[in-house]
Amino acid sequence: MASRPIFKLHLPIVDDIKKKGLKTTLVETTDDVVSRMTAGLTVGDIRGVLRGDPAPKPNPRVKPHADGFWLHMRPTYFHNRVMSLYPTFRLGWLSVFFFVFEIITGLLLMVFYTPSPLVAYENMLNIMGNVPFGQFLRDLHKIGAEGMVVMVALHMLRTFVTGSYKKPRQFTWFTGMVLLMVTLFLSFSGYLLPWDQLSLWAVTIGASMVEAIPPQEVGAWVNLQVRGAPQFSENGLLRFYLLHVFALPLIGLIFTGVHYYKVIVHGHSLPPDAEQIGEDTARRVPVDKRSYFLPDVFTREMFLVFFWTTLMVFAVSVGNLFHAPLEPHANPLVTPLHTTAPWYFLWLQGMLKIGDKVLWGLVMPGVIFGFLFILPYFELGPSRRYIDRRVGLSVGALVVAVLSILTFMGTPFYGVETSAPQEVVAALAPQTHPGELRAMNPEVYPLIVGEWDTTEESIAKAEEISPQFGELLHLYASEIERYKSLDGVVGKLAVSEWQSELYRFDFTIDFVGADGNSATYEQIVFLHEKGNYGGH
Amino acid sequence: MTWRVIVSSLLALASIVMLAIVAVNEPARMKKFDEGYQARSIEAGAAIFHANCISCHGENGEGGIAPTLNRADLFDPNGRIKEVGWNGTVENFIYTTISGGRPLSFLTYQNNKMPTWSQEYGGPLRIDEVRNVTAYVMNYAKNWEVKEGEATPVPTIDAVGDSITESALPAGDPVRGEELVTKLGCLGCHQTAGGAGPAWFADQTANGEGIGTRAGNRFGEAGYTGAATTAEEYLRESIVQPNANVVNKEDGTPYIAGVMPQNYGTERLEAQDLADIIAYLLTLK
Repeated sequence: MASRPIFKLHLPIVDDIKKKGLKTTLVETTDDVVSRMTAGLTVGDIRGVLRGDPAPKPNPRVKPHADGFWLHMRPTYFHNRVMSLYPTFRLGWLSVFFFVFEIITGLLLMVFYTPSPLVAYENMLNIMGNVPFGQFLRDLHKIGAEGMVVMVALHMLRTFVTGSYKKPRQFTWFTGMVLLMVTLFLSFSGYLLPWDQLSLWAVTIGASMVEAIPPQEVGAWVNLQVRGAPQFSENGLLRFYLLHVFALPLIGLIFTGVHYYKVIVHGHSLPPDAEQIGEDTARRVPVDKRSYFLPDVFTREMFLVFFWTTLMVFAVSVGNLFHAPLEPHANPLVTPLHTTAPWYFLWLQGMLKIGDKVLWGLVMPGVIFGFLFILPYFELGPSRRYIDRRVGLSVGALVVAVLSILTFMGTPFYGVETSAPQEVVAALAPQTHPGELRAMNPEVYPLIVGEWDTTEESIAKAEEISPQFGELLHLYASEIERYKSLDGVVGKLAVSEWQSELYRFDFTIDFVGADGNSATYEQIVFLHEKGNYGGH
Repeated sequence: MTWRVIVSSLLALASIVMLAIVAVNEPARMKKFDEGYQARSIEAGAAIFHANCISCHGENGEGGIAPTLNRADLFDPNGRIKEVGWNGTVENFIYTTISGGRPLSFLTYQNNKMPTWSQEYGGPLRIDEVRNVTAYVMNYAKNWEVKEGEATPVPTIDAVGDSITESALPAGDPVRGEELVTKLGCLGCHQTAGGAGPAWFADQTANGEGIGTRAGNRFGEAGYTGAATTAEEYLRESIVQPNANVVNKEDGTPYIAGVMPQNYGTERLEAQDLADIIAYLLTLK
């Protein structure tokens, strides 16, 4: 009686090798694996795609759209008219690209970060000084964040200009507005995390607006919810961290899904001149006007991935064009002179300078954003053609111009009044960035120990010792000249060696104050030879 | 389409090359960042020290009513830390002292207890700020580094001594005197009414007399226990022999004897320094 085996090993590939030979078996098996992974494309199909062969019939390149998870989200073909740079400029796609880019770099940075004021800043020092590729990652995450804000804003502007928010795409626009808000707040909430002076004060400026909500009790309550305490501290940082890494990305992903679903359902909006007024033909793409996702759209997208990734990598590495700033540790007691909101909120800061905090900080932004949210529901003009939308486009251009002016007004160049001597010294040794004094080559320090001032003899003497130092005294003199109240005033600078490798710079300005009494402004700056502020 | 594939491949290659360049430079970059950060920490510590510590420890760590910080034995592993039985490093000792202060003090330092500075112990400074100040104080160690085969550097000073008549003083310069009293931390006690010592300035006293005026009267008053016969001698005596005559506060109770350091004449001032300080004090009428 034959015993039944309790265990039997059977490798079908061995049978195949015996039957067909090694080479054929390997080719067939590879093909099989590849077509499972690509949900329908064999090695030969992929090579055909890459070579640019015309699609065979029946077209195997549509299979991944039907069977695969990732490509089932993408249309099988696009209309020829949306394949060129105009009208989309790829801005929507680039917004998603930057979002994904931020998620990847952000996840890696999360490994090295703890959201607590006790260690957050130390984490930055660790990332910068101890983690290989730490600065690189941090720079990429920051430049990607700026890129995402730019792309999302431009995408919205483009959608407005081509009238693509009109029926039937009103809700797509609405979800896009949600995504704009998510983008702005993602970037804004990320600002706080390094816990340096820049983050604390930039975010404080933004958060101070909620405090203005009337009545006062409500404002105070909302402020408490946002900051977690009357001032940013443990609770506030944790809240912003959770918003940044969890809540906002989640909302962003969900609304990206809804937004893109609507884009597919309605089809990519065609250039305004491609269809009759009042018509929307984007969903029905005639056979002769189809560009298939594989290979045309796919290679374009891959090209953009490589192009933008390489560009960003270049900017933060070899090109040395962009680095995420890191200022001194956050200090709730010291407000640096000239703190500003992040650049994309400067227009808000500009509005706040116009007048009332409630009107310009809450009502106006509320009206502007509210107006944008519901734009497609009341702007019902049927034509998307530019010639028929002169009023709307003019208003749009006007808004862009006003925002630019407001952005300028948000910078310290407009309407900030502090004491003149303080401004003069801040121009040389600012609190928010290294500035001219710190950019000076430290090798000069030992040579310039002594007393200096802004007279021409002193500057000439300084130039002989070091042109860079002469330049600095020159700047000192010209900064003093800028202020009427400092007419004829001589600025003094005493340099002394203070400790081993540490130098002390005493700025002294004797001037006549607004009350007619003479006054003295003094500021001491300590600089170490190895401060590594760069710029030399 | 083909150009996109080719350019993409080249771009990918460029990215990999740039990553490799970053990788090669990383160790040097990280080292430079750490070095730069340490240097900036000293800068920040210097600013905090200047704002908070100089009234007791002197403008540049010379000491005053609190110990000298710019001195060899503080940084010597067999020096000060051994004396107080500290088991950790010098840096820990300094960090801990700044953080938690000193509940006890020596009489030399007039029983002035060092306050707690770290927010952990109810002080005003954050932990990172205490670290910055520690880095700044630790930077004094470089002044006292002993090179192989060299003797420990000792500050050389030709002290004036504690006699008020033995040698005549040179002519004094009140401007330098003013600098000296700031540097030595005298103002920590003598600046305002209600300090640990009598206030010097006229606007801080009830009768509007500055130290310069009072010095001229004091030695003639009843109850004076010193040996001075002129204003200059009176000031000199008060500095080099602080206990020769201890005056009363404005409310009539005496200042505590032994609070003012006794070593100005024997260890800390040269004849010219003393003359300059006296010249300055005499201007405070």
